[in-house]
Amino acid sequence: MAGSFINITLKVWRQSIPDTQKEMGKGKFETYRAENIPTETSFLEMLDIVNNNLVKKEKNL
Amino acid sequence: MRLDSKIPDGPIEKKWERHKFNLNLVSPTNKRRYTILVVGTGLAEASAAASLSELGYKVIAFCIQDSPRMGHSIAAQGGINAAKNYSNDGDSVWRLFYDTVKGGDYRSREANVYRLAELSNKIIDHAVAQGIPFSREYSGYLHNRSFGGALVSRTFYVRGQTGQQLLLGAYGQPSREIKRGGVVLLTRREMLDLVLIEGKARGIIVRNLVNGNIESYTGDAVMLATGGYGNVYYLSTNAKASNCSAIWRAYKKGDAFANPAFVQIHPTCIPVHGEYQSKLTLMSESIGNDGRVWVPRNQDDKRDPNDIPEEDRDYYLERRYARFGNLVPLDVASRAAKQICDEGRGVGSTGLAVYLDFADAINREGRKTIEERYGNLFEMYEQITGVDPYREPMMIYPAVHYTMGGLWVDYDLMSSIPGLYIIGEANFSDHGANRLGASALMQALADGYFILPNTIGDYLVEIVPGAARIEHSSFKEAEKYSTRRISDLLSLNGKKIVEEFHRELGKIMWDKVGISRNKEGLKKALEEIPLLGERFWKEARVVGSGDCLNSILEKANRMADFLKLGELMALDALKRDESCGCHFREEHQTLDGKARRDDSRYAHVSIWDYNGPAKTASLYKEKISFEYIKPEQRSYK
Ligand SMILES: Cc1cc2nc3c(=O)[nH]c(=O)nc-3n(C[C@H](O)[C@H](O)[C@H](O)COP(=O)(O)OP(=O)(O)OC[C@H]3O[C@@H](n4cnc5c(N)ncnc54)[C@H](O)[C@@H]3O)c2cc1C
Repeated sequence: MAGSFINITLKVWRQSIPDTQKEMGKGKFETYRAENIPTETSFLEMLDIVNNNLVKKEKNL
Repeated sequence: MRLDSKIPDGPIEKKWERHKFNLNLVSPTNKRRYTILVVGTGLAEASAAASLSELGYKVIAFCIQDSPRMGHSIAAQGGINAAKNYSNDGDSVWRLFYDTVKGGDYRSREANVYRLAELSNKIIDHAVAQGIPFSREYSGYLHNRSFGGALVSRTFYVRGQTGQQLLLGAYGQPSREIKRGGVVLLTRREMLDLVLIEGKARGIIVRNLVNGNIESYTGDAVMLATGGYGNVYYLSTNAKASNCSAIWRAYKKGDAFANPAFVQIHPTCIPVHGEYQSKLTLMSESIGNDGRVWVPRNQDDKRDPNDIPEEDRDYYLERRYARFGNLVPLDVASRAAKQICDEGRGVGSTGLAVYLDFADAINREGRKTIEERYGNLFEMYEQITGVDPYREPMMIYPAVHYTMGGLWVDYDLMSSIPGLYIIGEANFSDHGANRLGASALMQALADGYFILPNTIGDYLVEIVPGAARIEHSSFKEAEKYSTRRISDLLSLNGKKIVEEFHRELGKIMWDKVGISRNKEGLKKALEEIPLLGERFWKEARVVGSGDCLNSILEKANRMADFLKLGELMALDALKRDESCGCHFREEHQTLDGKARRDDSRYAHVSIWDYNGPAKTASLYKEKISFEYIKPEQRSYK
């Protein structure tokens, strides 16, 4: 279905450092909106779009 | 610069055996005193790491992924060549040698290619012993299929997953060595720099991708198996993590770069869709065994492919190349597809596609047989495009796939820097100006299992093991350089994301340094790429910090090197004022549009030597001469 767009709500697990044996990395779910995503885009490409929009908005994610 | 190819004397059939005998050996008890650093864990590395460790050397392996099982070689689909002649169709070591030299359009060294053909059979024996589940006949014998540029069937395969299965086999061996303690595996490490002490490769600097630490490692020799640089075009069939940084940093340390302009563009890929596309997907060349390429005869014919009758179809490869048909070499098939689309006869919504049709094969052999041969590829195609290729022809278009160019190596696979070995796709060695399908796996494994383990001792025997110290000023300087580089990248606070620059670079490269090239376009590329580079360092945006996982920083780091390599590729393409193999200069073609070589001026390897950021690289030439095969105009008619 070339030429159509969809909106998606994503719940993304964010965690900046890995869990270690001593400590949990303290991650949490955050909600993002992926808007106007062309339907021919793959799931990972959709995440690229979301990421790139975030990068453009803020210096430190 | 050390550029002696060290091709041994004597008849071609005896060169390798004699050479092995003449090489110095490290005694079995001394081997454990030497440490070899190996970087990039695809097939070339896995096979070399295992073989070196089994010989008794200490090996430290650096893997950019979470596990070597994710090395890029896993992507290889179609198969691996060998001159076993199981098909009894006239194959021989000599024929594989001949086909490879001809396929490379007479721009590779005869001695190297002969050795490759000779070793091909051992690879299959080795892989079978490892338990690689190659496809077999009903009788149990290994089955072969055909690949482009050959009139025999010599390709061994595991469905459409040959690379994956070979990698699992190859990685099983180092896994045992890891357990035994012969191989130390360091994952999530990206090489940033090569360290030389007194002109010899003595170590590397890597970035730990998880915590950002800059780490130094010493060794008695360094081996790079970091694969090809096709991702300079942004869109390619290569994995996203494939990049040029390791070989580029070695080049900047004085290592010679050979034939950077020789890039293979594969004809059978799923066409580009949409502007956000991040990579391209290959449909293995093996499908040319059963698929027929065509476009509508009439460019205004907008009917569904299944509604277009035979007489209105143009099977242009079969028409132009009666003998090889759909199995012409990759470069020939790619150019033919581009020409057809340039004429306005392409299909699909963009007009940048041709049909690859399996209807005849399905009618002839039955759906089940086709499923057995290509099931996973057909499934992948359907998942990506939503079209069922059992019912409707596939649409395909050429895409960047493989780089024949790479760091220069001698017959021992040592680069121009003593102690630095380059194996697999990262070197330039065996494919000339065009690689034949199913020959890359063969080369990566020949290098790793059989060549390097034999040749490296000859160098090591002269080296005092363990002499390098990370306290040495060369390490300190390299660490400082890498740390500064990371902080420079992190300080980029512009408005554009790295991918936007990468896409722009890809477009320049595809349009001007792609399937066909001309002087004007290449000169333009040489103006545009440096300007893009300047903009990158001003306008790019890199967020996050350097002390944790930061994929944006990783991409920016690779991008800065791609920009520089792109420039060198354009320069190399400009200076090679002839057409050969994949390097098609529009100014040099025959009346029927074939590449026209100029052997009197260009029968050489072009070798580039870095002169610092402000000066153009110097060009050296290694003459290619032919004793056994007479160069002729390639013909696949
Ligand atoms: C889709 C596809 C299908 C193919 N099918 C076939 C086929 O059927 N037959 C055939 O013969 N060939 C095929 N090829 C080509 C073949 O797969 C490759 O040429 C071959 O696998 C290269 O092996 P390698 O070990 O040299 O490098 P790779 O497998 O590319 O491994 C190099 C690794 O090094 C890593 N690396 C890069 N830079 C660094 C760094 N700075 N630090 C650490 N690590 C780094 C890369 O991420 C990569 O994982 C195919 C290629 C593709 C893309």
